[in-house]
Amino acid sequence: MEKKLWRYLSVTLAVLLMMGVLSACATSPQTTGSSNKNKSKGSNQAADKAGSKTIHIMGPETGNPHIHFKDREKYSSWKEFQKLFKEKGLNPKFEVVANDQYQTTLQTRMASATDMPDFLNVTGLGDDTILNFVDKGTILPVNQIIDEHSDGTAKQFFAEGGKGARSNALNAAENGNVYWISQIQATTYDGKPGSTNQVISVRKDWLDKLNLEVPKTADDFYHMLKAFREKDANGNGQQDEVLAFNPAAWNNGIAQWFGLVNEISCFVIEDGKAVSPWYQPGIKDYFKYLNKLAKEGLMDTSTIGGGDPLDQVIAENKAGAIFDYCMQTWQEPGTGDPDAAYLPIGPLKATDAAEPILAIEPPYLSYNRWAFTKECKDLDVAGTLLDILCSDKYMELTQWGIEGETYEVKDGEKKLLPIALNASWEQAAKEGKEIGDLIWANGSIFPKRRFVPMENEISIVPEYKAEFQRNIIDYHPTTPLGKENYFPVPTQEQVQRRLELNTDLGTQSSQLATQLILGQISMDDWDSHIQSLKDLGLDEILKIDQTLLDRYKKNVKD
Amino acid sequence: MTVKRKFNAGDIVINLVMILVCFITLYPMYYVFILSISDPVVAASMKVYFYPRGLYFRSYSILATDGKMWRAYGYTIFYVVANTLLVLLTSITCAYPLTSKKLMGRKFVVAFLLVPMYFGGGLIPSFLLISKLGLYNTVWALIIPSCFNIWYIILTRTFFVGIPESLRESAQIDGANNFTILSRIYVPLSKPILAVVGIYTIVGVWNSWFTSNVYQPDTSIQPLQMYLRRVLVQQTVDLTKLSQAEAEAMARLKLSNNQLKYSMIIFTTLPVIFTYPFFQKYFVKGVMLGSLKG
Repeated sequence: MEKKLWRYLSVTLAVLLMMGVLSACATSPQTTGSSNKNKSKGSNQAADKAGSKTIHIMGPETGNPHIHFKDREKYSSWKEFQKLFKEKGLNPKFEVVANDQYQTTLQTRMASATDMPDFLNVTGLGDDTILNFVDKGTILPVNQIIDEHSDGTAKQFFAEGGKGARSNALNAAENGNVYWISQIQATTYDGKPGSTNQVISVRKDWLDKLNLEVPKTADDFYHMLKAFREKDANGNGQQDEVLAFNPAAWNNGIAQWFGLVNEISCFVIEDGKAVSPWYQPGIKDYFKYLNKLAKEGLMDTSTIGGGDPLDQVIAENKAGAIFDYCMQTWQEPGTGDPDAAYLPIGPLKATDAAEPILAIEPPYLSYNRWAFTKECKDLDVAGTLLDILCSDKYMELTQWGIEGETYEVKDGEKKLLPIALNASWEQAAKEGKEIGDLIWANGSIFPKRRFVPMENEISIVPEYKAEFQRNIIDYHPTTPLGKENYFPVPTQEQVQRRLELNTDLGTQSSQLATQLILGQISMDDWDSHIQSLKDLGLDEILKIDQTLLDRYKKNVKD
Repeated sequence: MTVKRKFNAGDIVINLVMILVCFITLYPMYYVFILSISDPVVAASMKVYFYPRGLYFRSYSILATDGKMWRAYGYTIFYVVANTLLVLLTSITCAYPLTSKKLMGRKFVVAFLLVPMYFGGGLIPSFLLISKLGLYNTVWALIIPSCFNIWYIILTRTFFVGIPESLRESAQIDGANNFTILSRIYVPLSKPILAVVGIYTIVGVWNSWFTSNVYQPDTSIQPLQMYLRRVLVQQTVDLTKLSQAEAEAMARLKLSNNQLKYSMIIFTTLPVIFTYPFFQKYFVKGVMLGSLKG
């Protein structure tokens, strides 16, 4: 019996070893599993046709819970998109990596220059890394590909006056070359550039229940929080209602009431000058206000830093006010209260020292990066792909989908049908009807081209949120959510210097802010606090950002 | 005649400390378990402390019907079995010759084995090696590189050295060759150390995810820990740093995964908990026997 056991064990081990050896010998380094796995089923047929050129494309899977790129064959938008490839004689081979894993895969493949795709999403690489790859020639200049290998479509798109001109200007390095393309989201309202924004929202149902007015000033807001607490707005018998937000971040809604920009170095768009909240006039009143909230227990100090404690406060139905997008509808279900309704407010007047500012998602967003690597030997193929991604048909499929399925034309204007709106992802996945933005764009395989009126989004949110958005659309002054949308590509020296300064400066700034809010340090030592930030390079960061902003104003015509 | 030992104050303190240590060790596991069977809203608000509130087993039924999770489970079992068998094989076959004083260059070989324990090539050289060998994005990336462990070879060798040389000599006199000596004498006597190496390998492979994260972009062959990591990572996204469309997608995912992560933790931990008792007899004896001596 024992002898038989040994025999079986030996055979198993021998088989395992042989399989390992055969597996290694059977695949050559050029055709590792990564190229062969996740092949597009549709494009396998195209690969057999004479004359079609192959291009290896890599990107992360979409982050959507129901719509996935790997299920693309069931969507009619995808079938239409595939026709664009066939018309141009292109045979794309897709490699889709799980969203959470993509950064690791991207960094290891690019750093080792092994098995690189021809075209890929390089958003996960930092500025310094990507500029290093540019220096080494790992990433190819897109503008040269467009100039020499485009049929004119991409050229027109990125030229002055084209829809991609601004994005192209933002992506231009100091040497004038452009090394990546970005996705573009341009929002309009009533035909003009329009933005959504992030503000403080308060529990509308609690206001109604307690017969309270919507706060119009920071003082009203303070009294509202007190009333929520004292009158037990959540009805659990405890005085535990709080403001749930992360005061350690400058982008928290309340800082903007005091006229403060939303990063350690940022700017007021109308002003065009890089500034730090530490230097702005409303800063001391801001800390005094938050210190008052913290002392009276109206702010949950465990949420400093954000993350799970913040989610927990909301889940416990204690959050009388939160900070998020004004038209958000995803926080209410998390409270567990079926009547929960967050009403956006502000920006509220909080100090005589400064006007309140509004943190807006810029109306023209150019973000994320897609690049060609040196593995792409046939630049005609690269030019063809760019032409496809800049074509009107691609734009239509990405932002609207298929007429009659995902959008309709009413009174000469396109309007998304209910199935293509955010609330219907599960149904869209079942029926195979969705716009391209959710299937292959939005930070996934291809860049999105979304030039959509905000009226579509406004139409599906509750009226009180829609009304706020409509009323706030022309508000000034504003500060951008994501200052990178106004910064062209920095030089390597600028990237290096920012990297050297940002970590310590950011830590010191957060720490100081937290200590001042909690009253652990005094504002009497204000000068020494500011000096500690200056010693860590705050002024130098502002200077770098101002240089970038000036370059932006020079190169980009609004 | 039995002598009864007096139970003194020192014993009371020691026992209290041990109870505290047990509680600290076991409570986190128990806490995750009761969270996994509590109502999701109560669990999200972290109001569960010592007993489950609002019994809820749907997250387990979601997991039980999730094909992706079972596939990850199957692959993990394959990786564990393959790795364990290969590690044991390489440990035994490499350790045995090192016990022979007649081995030419024995000191050099031992030193050659010890050096990589202190220095490594780093991630990118390893990545290049795996890619060039054609193992990238295959199941073998998790088996071949890790089937050779120098520490376990040293451990096994040290144990083999403890077996009397006279046994080998008498077997040789009786006409046994090296393979017979190894398989009939050394291996049966080495059950404690083999159990130690086995359980270390099983637990190590079961818990590993980083290697898969780097070498296996294909989700269909990834182990269970990668699946669990995916669920956990999705919970930590800061929604205010995303665009509005992206924030909504992530918020919905966070909400649906909130309860799931606790059940997943229990699912992934149970097999290792059940495996330990089978090895315990050897483990207690062997874990110190294999320690380096002189």
